[in-house]
Amino acid sequence: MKDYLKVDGLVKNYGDFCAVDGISFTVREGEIFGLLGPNGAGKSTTMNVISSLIEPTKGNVSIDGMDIVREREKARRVIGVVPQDLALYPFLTAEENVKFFASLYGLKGKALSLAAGEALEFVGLSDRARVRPKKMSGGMKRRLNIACGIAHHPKLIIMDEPTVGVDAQSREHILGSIKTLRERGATVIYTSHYMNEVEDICDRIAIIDRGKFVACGTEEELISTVSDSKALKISTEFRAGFPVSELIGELSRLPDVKNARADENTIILEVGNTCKDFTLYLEHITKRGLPICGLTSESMNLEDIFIALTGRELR
Amino acid sequence: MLHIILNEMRSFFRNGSTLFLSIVFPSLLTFILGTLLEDVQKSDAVVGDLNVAYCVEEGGYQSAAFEEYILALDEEKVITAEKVTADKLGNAAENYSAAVELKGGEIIVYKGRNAIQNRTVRALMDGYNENAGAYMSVAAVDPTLLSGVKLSDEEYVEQKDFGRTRTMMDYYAVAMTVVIIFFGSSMGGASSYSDERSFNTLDRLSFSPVSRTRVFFGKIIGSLPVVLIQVGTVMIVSILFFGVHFCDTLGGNLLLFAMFVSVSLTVLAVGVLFGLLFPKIPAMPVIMPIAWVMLFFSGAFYSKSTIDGISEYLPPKLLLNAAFDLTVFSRSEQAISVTLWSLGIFAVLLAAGWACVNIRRRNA
Repeated sequence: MKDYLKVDGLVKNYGDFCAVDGISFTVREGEIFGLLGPNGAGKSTTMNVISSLIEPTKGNVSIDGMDIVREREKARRVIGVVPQDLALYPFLTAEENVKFFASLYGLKGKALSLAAGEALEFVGLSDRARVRPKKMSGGMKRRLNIACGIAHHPKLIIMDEPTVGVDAQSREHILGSIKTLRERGATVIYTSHYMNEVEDICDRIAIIDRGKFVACGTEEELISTVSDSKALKISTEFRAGFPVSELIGELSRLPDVKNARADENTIILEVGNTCKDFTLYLEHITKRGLPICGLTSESMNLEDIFIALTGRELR
Repeated sequence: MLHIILNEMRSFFRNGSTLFLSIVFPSLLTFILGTLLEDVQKSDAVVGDLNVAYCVEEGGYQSAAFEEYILALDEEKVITAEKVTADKLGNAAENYSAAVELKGGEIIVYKGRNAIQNRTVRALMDGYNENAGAYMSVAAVDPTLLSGVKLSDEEYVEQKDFGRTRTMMDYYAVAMTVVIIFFGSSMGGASSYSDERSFNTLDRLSFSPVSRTRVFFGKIIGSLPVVLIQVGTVMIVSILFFGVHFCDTLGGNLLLFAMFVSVSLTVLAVGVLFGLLFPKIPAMPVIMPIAWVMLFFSGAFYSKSTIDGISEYLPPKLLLNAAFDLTVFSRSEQAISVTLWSLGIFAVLLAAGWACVNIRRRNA
């Protein structure tokens, strides 16, 4: 997959304040790229530069080879933005809203009607085409907000917390829609405060803090930057007089095991992140006549990584 | 840009409050004022015979002139005058329409038996005061000039036939149109951008390939029908329902309409620019008082609420003067001048708006 978006040494200053401090990254065509960061980290500024709303102080941003400053109008035609705040005209119906925003990208006539119909169908609002936003639920408005941003078939879709304040059903619908957009070939930049969403749909994730990139990669790659091991907890029942320390000593010498210990009826093995096959450890325990009552593998999640890298919580 | 223009128009026609302010409110105002003022020039009571008792201070200041005035009124059968002594004035008031006394150069009117008759006598005395005041002013400068002063109104009043009977509505229709232009257009212009901000749609417009300049011009052009409808509504309702006369000729009416529209556009552009420059300041509490103060001191609500040296330069006053000059006296010079000036200012405001949106983008 080619690099669809290239950000190279991006700097954005507001007077003496540096909002974005020389970040560089690429987003590949057809991937969902998550951008995470605490409030004021520089996330929105980065998104605003990419969407050409503001100009960078230094650095280059190109979309499919088009420079976002020099070829702004051309680049804008391939971008679709779904802003965090609902951006809808209350006096227009759902269909009219979608049509108006799509028309700004040069669509007209039958192509415009077709595109609006497709977008509404895509977000599950076909039956609400003639309804005005004020008569819609919060979730429906969110979906309409997305329809307005994608009706013109953009290649790069920038979504800024599109699921804020929606019910579980609408959230599932929205996340499913984003995956569908990827399947259709769109490249998506996605921000959210919901870590599970980012874990669920993003192919790669970048963590930004104080205007700088802290880490970037797949979830596994991010975990490995913070910790190279995970905890494997095996529940069993030690008989009276069972040589626990002897067993622990044997387990600690098995491949990938970095540390082993026992805590009442639980054996805790610290194994490498890459270790996915635990049968060797389980067989060793059962050979000693111990039952396996339960098994859990506890690796770091995105939230742990985020806190470890930035020293603060996302919210 | 066409889509933005159409959207602007659609927002107008679908927005209840804008529609009310632009069409319903001016129409209602015209109906209310029109109905109130319809009978203002008609007498609604019979005054009857005026019997006036009068008393003049012997040898006093203006005594001879005042008595001459009273006797002239009697001779013309406007009143029936009867001279009484000062001590009988109190009783006289019960038997006469009113009793008047000239004492120390001042006219005292005692209430008579009938309030309407009393008010009529008071009006006649006010007439004397106005005339006498003029003579006194001349005499204070140079008494020899009095010989050249024309004595009767036939001599010094030059009558002009307007071709038709003018009513108060002819004045108020013009004044109302001016009021609507300054209130409606400024608010409409300011809300053009503030609405976009409150709907969060301005950023979405800014993300699109349509340049900010085209958005700005689209908004101005899209507001044009609103202006035309506002001005047209007041003029048409005034003509159709209250027989208001604006100009005698079609050309004059077209020029009047063009002047109103050009000034509306300028006011609208001021509103739009305000919305652009001060996005976080609500337009209503700022623009409305400014418009109100300008209109008040331009005499749009009350012809005497003006300040010498200031009012004549206020835009509403300039517009009012030009409109009256055109409608009443059929003189078009001021109207043409106001139209051209406002179009010029409109062009400057457009350029300022264009510069504003582009500089802001670079500095964002």
